[in-house]
Amino acid sequence: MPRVSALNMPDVPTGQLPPHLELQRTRVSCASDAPTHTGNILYSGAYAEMGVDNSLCFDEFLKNFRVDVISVEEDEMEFDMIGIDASIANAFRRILIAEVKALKFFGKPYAPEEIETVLLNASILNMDLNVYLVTSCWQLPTMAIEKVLIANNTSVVQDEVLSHRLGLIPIKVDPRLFDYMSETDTPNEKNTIVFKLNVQCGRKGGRLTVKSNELKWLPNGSEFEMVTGSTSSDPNTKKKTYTSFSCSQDSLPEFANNPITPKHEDIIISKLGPGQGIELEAHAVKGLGKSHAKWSPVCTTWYRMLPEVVLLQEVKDEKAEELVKKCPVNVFDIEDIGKGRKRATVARPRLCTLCRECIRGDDWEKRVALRRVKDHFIFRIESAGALPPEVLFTEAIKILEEKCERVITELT
Amino acid sequence: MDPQVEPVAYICGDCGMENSLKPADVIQCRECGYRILYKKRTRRSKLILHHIGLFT
Repeated sequence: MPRVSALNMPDVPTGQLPPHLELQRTRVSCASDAPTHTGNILYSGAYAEMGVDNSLCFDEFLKNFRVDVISVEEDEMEFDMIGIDASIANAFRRILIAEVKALKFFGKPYAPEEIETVLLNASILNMDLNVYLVTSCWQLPTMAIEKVLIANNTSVVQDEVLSHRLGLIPIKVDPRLFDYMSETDTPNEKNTIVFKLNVQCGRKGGRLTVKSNELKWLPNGSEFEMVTGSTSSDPNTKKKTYTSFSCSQDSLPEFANNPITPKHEDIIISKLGPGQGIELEAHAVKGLGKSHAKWSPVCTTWYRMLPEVVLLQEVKDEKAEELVKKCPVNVFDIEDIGKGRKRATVARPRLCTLCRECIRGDDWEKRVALRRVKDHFIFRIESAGALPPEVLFTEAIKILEEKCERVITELT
Repeated sequence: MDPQVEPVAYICGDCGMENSLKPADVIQCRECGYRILYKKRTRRSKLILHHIGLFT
């Protein structure tokens, strides 16, 4: 018997991977015990023996990449990003969206060894960039209450707890209209928003719930007088307060017909018993989510890979009924195939949460295969309210772009 | 003892009622008879000023 190389597979056309390898390359298989083939094959020569080029190709990327917006609501957004690799292509994705910069990068003639260094560095970097997909939303600033001046607080909520609660209230204002305030800056109309909270619970009439709508915006800045050392009782000099606003914020065109308020008016701040009261001033400043979560512009933002549910063999009659019943999120449907016979179909694979109920029990793993598409991401952004989600995403892209640019300058 | 001494306002720990007490007075709320009274918080801000570096 003549010896034949194991890689000599005449039934496999060159330039194309055999189906089982293609499956490993593009899908995560989710068996009952653990997911397998979770990694991405980055090496350009991984399939060289089979005549398949696994290198990253710009034109190919442009051809395959797609963004499908599924839904955009006031504070939530869901979209699909298809044709991006979780690792390296994902790292380049932001640059590629802004094509000019992509061309700048790819258009420059690199020597092969130079390209290798770029890709090597990028793959070290891509871990970071991958994380940035989600975390870049943390890099976006918002306004949040940072300083609280308490004149009176006889409520049961202590000053520090009260201040912390106030800090977490999302404020409906575009942070791009404000500047950051450094430690040496004086609070002015460009870097500080002042709110007043003055509530008193009557002696009769039971408890009072203080909600966020009690926070009143002070467009002219702080009203608390600062006691200075010199007691010059000149009535003409303007009293020194805790802010130095040069003009009223509501005289600015952005806020003239759009007063600054908390995003939701029914957030409970505290509860007051009879005779208790709170009088305070809250100063909101601009900040980043990485220093405190109160500045994060999103409630959550996350992505998941597209689930793929495949019936490996026909599931009929009672088994079909059983399968439909097994799935808690209703992925499967029953189809009538005539003569009173029924067949299970995969109707809504997108709903699959990968609970693996359907592959539990004897032999079910032979009938149903659960997979995830490696290059298809279902991305969801839930805004905390300062900016709409689609704006957040475009801002995030800009930030990632800057980061990539910095890396490219480092590498060249 | 100085007879001209100003009465100081206290807040009842139970009912929140404001009580003015002079030095020799019994420490007790006039409204509910509760015996724990609190001093009111000062509105002078000079001390606070040192704590908040951002505003100085």
